[in-house]
Amino acid sequence: MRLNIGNFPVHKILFGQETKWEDGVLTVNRQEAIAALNADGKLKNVDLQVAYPGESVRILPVHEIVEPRAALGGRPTFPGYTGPLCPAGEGTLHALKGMSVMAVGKYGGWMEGILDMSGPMAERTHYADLINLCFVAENVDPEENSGQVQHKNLNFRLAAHRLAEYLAQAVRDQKPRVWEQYELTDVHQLHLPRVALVIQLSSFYDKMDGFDDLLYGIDVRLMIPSLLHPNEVLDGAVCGSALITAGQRFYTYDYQNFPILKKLYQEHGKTIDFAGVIISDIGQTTPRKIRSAIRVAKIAQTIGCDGAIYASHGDGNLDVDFFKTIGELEKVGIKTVGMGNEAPGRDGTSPIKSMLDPVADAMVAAGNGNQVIELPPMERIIGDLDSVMRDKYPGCWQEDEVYGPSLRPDGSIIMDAHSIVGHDGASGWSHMTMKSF
Amino acid sequence: MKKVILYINQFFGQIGGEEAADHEPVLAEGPVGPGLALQPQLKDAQITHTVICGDDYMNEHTRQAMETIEGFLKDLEFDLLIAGPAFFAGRYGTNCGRICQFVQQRFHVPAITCMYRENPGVEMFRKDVYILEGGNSAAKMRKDLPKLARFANKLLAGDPILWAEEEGYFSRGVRAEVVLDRSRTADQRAFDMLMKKLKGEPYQTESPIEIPQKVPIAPPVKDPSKATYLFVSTGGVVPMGNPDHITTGTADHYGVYDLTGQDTLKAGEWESVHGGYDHAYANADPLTHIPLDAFRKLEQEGKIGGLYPKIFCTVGNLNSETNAVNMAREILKELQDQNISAIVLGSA
Repeated sequence: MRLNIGNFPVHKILFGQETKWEDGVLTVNRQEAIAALNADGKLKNVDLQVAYPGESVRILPVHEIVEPRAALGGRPTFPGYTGPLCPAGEGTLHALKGMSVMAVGKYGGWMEGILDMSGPMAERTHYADLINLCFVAENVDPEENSGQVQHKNLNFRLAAHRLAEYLAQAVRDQKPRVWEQYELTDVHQLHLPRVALVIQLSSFYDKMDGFDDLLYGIDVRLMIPSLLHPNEVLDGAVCGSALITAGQRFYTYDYQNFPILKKLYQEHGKTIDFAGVIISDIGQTTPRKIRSAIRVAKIAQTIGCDGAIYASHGDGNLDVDFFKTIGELEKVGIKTVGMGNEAPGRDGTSPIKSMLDPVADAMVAAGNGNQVIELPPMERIIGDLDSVMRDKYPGCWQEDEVYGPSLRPDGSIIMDAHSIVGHDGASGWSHMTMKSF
Repeated sequence: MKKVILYINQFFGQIGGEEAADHEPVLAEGPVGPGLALQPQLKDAQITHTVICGDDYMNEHTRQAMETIEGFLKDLEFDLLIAGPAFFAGRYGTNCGRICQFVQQRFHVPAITCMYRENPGVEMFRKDVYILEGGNSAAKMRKDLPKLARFANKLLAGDPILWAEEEGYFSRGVRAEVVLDRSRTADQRAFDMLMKKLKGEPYQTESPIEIPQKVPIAPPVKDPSKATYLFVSTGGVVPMGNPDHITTGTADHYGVYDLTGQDTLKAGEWESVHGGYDHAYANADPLTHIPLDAFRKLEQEGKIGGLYPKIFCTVGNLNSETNAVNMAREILKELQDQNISAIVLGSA
């Protein structure tokens, strides 16, 4: 199973007559792009705006982020989601690199995020390094926006994937500048340690579809851990959720580019034998948490793993899944490293996770979910700044004895890292760690 | 030129040994004892005075000792207090921590000390005071003084203080984010750690697991039929519209709702604002989170004395121990003299 990704760097995005890519410049036909993303007409007041790294721009609320890609050979880029369900992980993709498609709404909510392209936030998220082509829109149906703490954002999420697929059609017939190739060649004769990557997907909901991660376009809320070929993850089989706070969430862009997955590929045949990806979940009951932990360990054992890396999806009740799974893996002799965040409270003095078990003796701390950060006003707003106070972002507050309200009259913000899009970077992006002071 | 005050005990202050341990505090001009070796290592700073106090005196007459020292210091200008180093001397280490804490609180001037890791002063004062890790006997004086001087120079210059391991102080129990070089991404670090673990080489976790102290379970209520029960919930179910603006995660306050005269809670009048679970059940039936009907039944049957008329509701989602303890303390403050026998704590 071989996946070829042909890359086309994007340095500039312009709007013009024809959607095309030429020498790093992506020109976008606005009307066509809007028609493509809003194919079923469920969004209104759709506008396109570009945000460059270093610009004084604040984007909020961010609903989803996708890398523009086109699958060649007649299949959809996101199987089961933007088109019919078919196998992923094999064949050729053309990708626009250095940019993203970002879905931006008007209403915030429990899971939503904020992104600044410059200032102190920009240092803490990989999304500030990309040229982000944002579409700002509202749902036609007001019911989709209002009254709920949690939003499914179904229309925004699907639109982001459609726009990504549409834009990459511009490079479908062109010759890529750089190729990436992914194939799990048979290296068993080298007797290298076999290593699996465990990725915790978002599966928060018990009863209702529409909030959680997608596997081949299907909600994973009742998923049992499974073995995937790493290429399936890179090739659009897994797409992002509307849950998990922005600081911790794996967006579709993260699944398409998962740094620790690529690192294990890079080392495959050199220092390790990459055994595959085990996708796991966030069990909604204790038995489901324990069953998943056992299932992950059994799969890893069955495919002969010596080691594993567990990429956690944040903090809170999913810490239980994290520690239980690492515990089961270690119990069967699979040496495991955990990647995740810490959440020791705003003053940094609380326990670092909701559950603690010394069995996790090798952890990479990718960030602090409670890090309080002060952000200066930005010159341009993409989305709705008022959503900070009106709606319910996870890392913002209406009033606080120490910090005052999150949004100040001059447009500056004080909030915590739960609202920073891509903050924790536990898929491997993060160049932050945690220390004791 | 910055001004520094030094605090040392009777022994290092050259008053005497154990026989002089009950010596009252005295103030000397300029550096004394270890201060003489410390002075040349300080940058643009001068040890203007040295406070010397007997270890027993400070230990046994703490308040008088502090009052005397407060009298010495209140008319002096100074930018930093350095105490010790105290090595493995238990009384001395405790006194160094104590004076540092006092000076910081009373004069809002930073204070630092240095001692051996097993000195009881470490555990007593590490949360409030920068305590540098020092040697276990006075033979290590020559090693400990440069540590104190380096750290003092940093503080006096207003340089940022880095994490405990880097600076050599005992952690004050605060975890915070550090931005590393761009090349040290989490994927590289995780892979390197795994390779070491697989090879059996030493590796260091970035998130040390310290198991917090367990809260002892309260004894059972002696006579429930005479007891008043309070209901507190972190499940995030609140009156429709969330009148107290409780946040969906990391909540730092709670709402108080009076249920006097009510026997049940209706869907549509209550809602969940908790960000961490499926609201389908809670919104359809708020009693799943606030079991008012069950309490009323127990009251009627005489099995419990009664339910306290007000309930306290917040969101436990992604919350820290600090927030939780603060809220618990506030709730207890509100309920003083209310004769509550037990609390039923509901969650998500």
